[in-house]
Amino acid sequence: MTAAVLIAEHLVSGYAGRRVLAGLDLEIGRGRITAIVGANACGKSTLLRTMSRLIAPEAGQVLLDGRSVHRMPPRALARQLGVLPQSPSAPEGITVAELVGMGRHPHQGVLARWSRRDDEAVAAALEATGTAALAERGLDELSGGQRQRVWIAMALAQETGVLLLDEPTTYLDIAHQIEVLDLLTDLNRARATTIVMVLHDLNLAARYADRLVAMAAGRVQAAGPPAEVLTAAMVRTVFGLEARILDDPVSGRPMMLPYGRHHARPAEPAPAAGRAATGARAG
Amino acid sequence: MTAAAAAPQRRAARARWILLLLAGLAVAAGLSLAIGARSVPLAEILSALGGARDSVGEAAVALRIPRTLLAAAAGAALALAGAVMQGVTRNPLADPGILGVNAGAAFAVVAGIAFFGLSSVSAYVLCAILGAGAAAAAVYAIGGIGAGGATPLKLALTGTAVAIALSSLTTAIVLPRGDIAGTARSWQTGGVGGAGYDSLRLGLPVLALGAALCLGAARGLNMLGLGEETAKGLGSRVAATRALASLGAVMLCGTATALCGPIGFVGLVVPHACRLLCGADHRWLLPFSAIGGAILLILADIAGRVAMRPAEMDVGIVTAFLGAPVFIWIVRRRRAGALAQ
Repeated sequence: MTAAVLIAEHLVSGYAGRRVLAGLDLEIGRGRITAIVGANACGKSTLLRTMSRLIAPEAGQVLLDGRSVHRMPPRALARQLGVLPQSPSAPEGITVAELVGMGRHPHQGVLARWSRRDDEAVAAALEATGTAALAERGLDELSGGQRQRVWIAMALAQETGVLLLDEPTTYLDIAHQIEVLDLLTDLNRARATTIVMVLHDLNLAARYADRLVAMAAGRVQAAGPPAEVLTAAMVRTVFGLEARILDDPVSGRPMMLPYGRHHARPAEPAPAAGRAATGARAG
Repeated sequence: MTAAAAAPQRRAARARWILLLLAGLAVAAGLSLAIGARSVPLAEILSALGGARDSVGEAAVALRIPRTLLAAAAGAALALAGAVMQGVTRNPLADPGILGVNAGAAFAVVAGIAFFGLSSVSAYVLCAILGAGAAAAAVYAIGGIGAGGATPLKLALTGTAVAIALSSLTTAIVLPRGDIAGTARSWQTGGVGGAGYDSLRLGLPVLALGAALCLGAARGLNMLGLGEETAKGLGSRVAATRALASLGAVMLCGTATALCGPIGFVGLVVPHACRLLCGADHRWLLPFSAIGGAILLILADIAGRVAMRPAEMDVGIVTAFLGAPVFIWIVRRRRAGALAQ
């Protein structure tokens, strides 16, 4: 495996006495796309927020290139690791260029002067996300998909080697979801940016991630290439759902089709509760 | 490179607005010297500015000079504090009057006079700053109780309730004490009529320090505008920004209240008007607001002088007339739901 750029060691973390992560270990490969999946409230977002220092762990540590992120000066960390929260908000009336320019904050000193270097980084970020034409528009005027691209542009202007995203495709229609994930893949390939994202859609996660991390109850349940991690057994353990795993004819990655209580064809023997494993075929 | 090309244009437009506002400030100050209960001919105004105190007219103008300076300083302080409070709380309804900060300052001054026999301007200023800080902290703590934390509407309601409670207490302290009623009256409604050079000399350095703290926090406030998590993710020291900016705002409100009594709505109206001119960038918004606040309070004071000649209306009453419709406009312009979140 490639050297790990980000390592979580025995991480215990949560909010105001409610423990969410219970001694979690995880390694994030450098230059890879990692997708974190799991049921609601399993600790995905908490993991992302602890790794990006938005919350402090009760125990354990997060190492970025061997240094504890919770001991680094904030700006130094922000030059190496970017994070895009789940539904970020911006002040009324801010323009796209202004917002993307905010990404330069960690690169500016206390008595900051906007430099040519900042201009170049903003222009490159707008270019890469296809938002250059929107630069002078107000953020409020844009569609959800455009807005998400602008937020990603802001994170790009930050020029970090590692980018963490909490559900970057939430609230987007399927075309815009694909657009955002394609964009992140482009960045990963063009700039070798390490990308870690929380995703809800297992099939998109399996298609776009080099490595899938399945979480349950504050621990890593399975981690590895999608073909190894996305199995009927994993879906059952992590989501409590019966599913069939097929080869995605488009990508060749595994894809998951869930069984519910309705709409299964008679020819498809839906697994009865209790002897579940027999019906589903592991991919 | 559209971004790089458009940025200088925007900067030039903002710089032009700053110059226009400064010109407006000069005009307002001139009007403030010229207009009052007594009409003074231009020649006498000019000679009074030159230091002459021979005629009644010149003497009247001489009194209007510190009054104009105080209105400008207090207006700038309150508008700046309002802009900072809106940034720190991410609450468009934040204002030193609405959040109860001015009422806390006024209450502390009156309590200090009644119970501890305070009688110096420096004691008033110190007392007012402590009272302003305590009221701000209390309102934020009470407003944060319950589901959803300190939402804009909850904070505004809490602040208004605390302000009413504190001004009732202030009245309750003053009423039975005939001996201090004359002194204490100026902290029940705000006015700049009693301005003197002594209080200005003491207040201005404190106001300057508060303003410096606020301006120093401008970039941090821009980051806070993106939400706490994004700001932290960009390496901004969120807690430090909040602490510095709040301290600066409390110093501004406390000092302004110590010098003129509680004046509301300047901090609400001016930043919102300025945002229409210069956008949400605090590095521009804060200086815009300071100049705009100075202009507004000078004009409001002039209006108070001419509205009921020969009597005068306190400037705090005039600003309330101006501010209440703006408050309603802000609430109505956004869907109520967005404010209650």
